[in-house]
Amino acid sequence: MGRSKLVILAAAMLGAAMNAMAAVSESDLQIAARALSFMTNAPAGTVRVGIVFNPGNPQSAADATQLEQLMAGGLRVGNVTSQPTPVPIDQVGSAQVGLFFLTEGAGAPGQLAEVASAKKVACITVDLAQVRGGACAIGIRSGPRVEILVNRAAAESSGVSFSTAFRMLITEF
Amino acid sequence: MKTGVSAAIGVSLALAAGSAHGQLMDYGALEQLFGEPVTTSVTGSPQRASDVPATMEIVTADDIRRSGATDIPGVLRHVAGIDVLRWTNDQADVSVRGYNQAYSPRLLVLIDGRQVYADFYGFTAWSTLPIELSAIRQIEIVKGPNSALFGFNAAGGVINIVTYNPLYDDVNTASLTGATQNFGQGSLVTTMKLGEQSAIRLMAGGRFDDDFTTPAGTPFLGVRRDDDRASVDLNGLVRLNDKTTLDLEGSHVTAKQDEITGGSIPVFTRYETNSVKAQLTSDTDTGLWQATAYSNWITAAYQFGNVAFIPAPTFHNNVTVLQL
Repeated sequence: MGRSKLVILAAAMLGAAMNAMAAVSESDLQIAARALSFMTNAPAGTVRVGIVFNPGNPQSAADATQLEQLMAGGLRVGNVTSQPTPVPIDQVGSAQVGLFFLTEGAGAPGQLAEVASAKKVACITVDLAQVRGGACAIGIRSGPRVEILVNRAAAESSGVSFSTAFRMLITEF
Repeated sequence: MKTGVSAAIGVSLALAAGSAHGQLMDYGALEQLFGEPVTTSVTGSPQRASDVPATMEIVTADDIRRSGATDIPGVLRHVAGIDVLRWTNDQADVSVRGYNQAYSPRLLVLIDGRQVYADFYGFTAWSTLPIELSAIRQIEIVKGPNSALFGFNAAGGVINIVTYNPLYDDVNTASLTGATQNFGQGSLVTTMKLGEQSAIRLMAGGRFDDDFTTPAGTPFLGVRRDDDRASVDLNGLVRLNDKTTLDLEGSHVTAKQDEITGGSIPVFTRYETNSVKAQLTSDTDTGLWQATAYSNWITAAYQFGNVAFIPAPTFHNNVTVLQL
């Protein structure tokens, strides 16, 4: 086998490994978009989604790649079309986006929370520990059972609020 | 001859009353999000079907369509724990976990939170319900007593019929059904958005059939007549602002049918029911508030055949409920 073929094979295996490592799936995105539609000031139309990741963390990088692929070309759920924008964690302060999607293992949560609060931008993640820690306002889990977790303090500071009926169906703390 | 007149006014101050939040909820969007139906019929608050602390089943619109049923008792007979006694083509009695009988009481039947059972006896004349099967989003069945939340007549269970909301759902269906025993049924359900903030829904239906195809003997001429039903319901919703919705509804139903009354007496009954309802729902900083007022009028005229010594009573029953 030639050297070039070995390189291609290694790259393909690395890509497959990255996808397998990714913790986020298309159903997560569907759940996230549907959950956001219950916000009292729900986003509509085309929304730039800042995918916050840590380039130095393989898990976070894999999630960012996966999310970007899933949203490529504009993922439409309900009234919202999502356009992905990768945002390294150290550049969240300069990101011009309508929503942050925090990847697992991105780290530096305090910085993101400050930016989300200052810019009144909602943050959503599949990493529920980040929600419990206050880094992100909304956490979602699509399986085995759909779960939605909202950090009330983080939500209030970033201007996120939901209808009363919806709040009775999720977990707030 | 008017032999019975009754009226009742109920005032409920139950902040968590059954289906209190129903009309403000987008059932379809919530079901898509959580992957299962949501309900308010068990605790009064919105809950996912897998979270309810009661024995409950939810019959969805898909279940109804697949059942092939032509009326609600026909749908309910497929639900475990529900007993359906079909006495004639158009009359059926429904109970939870047995104890069924003619004119079976103790089962609270609601349409979007409005009680629709016949208050003068506690039974439900299913033909008099102003609803078409294709307008039903889901039928929520709570098996077992639920009087603590719903009050009178919920001793056996609760059946809450949730309809499509024209503000959230687009439903346009028309159907014609024919069968033996001269059965014919037509149904129309349509919703229409009137701008961004208001919508209406019209339901109309009719049915006719014969219980018997053989000739009737003289003593039974009075009770063996052809059945028919006609129903119309108009529902309008207006968003007064981002958080407040006004819901207005009116209905009219006439039904004539052979049936078996309490005491197992065969009769031919002419029903006429009317209802009006107004509901104001507001999602405020202090929580979700809902004020509901509705009146139901039912007239039931009984004919006991050509038996001279049995009178033909007519009952007039008016129920008004104010709920906050």
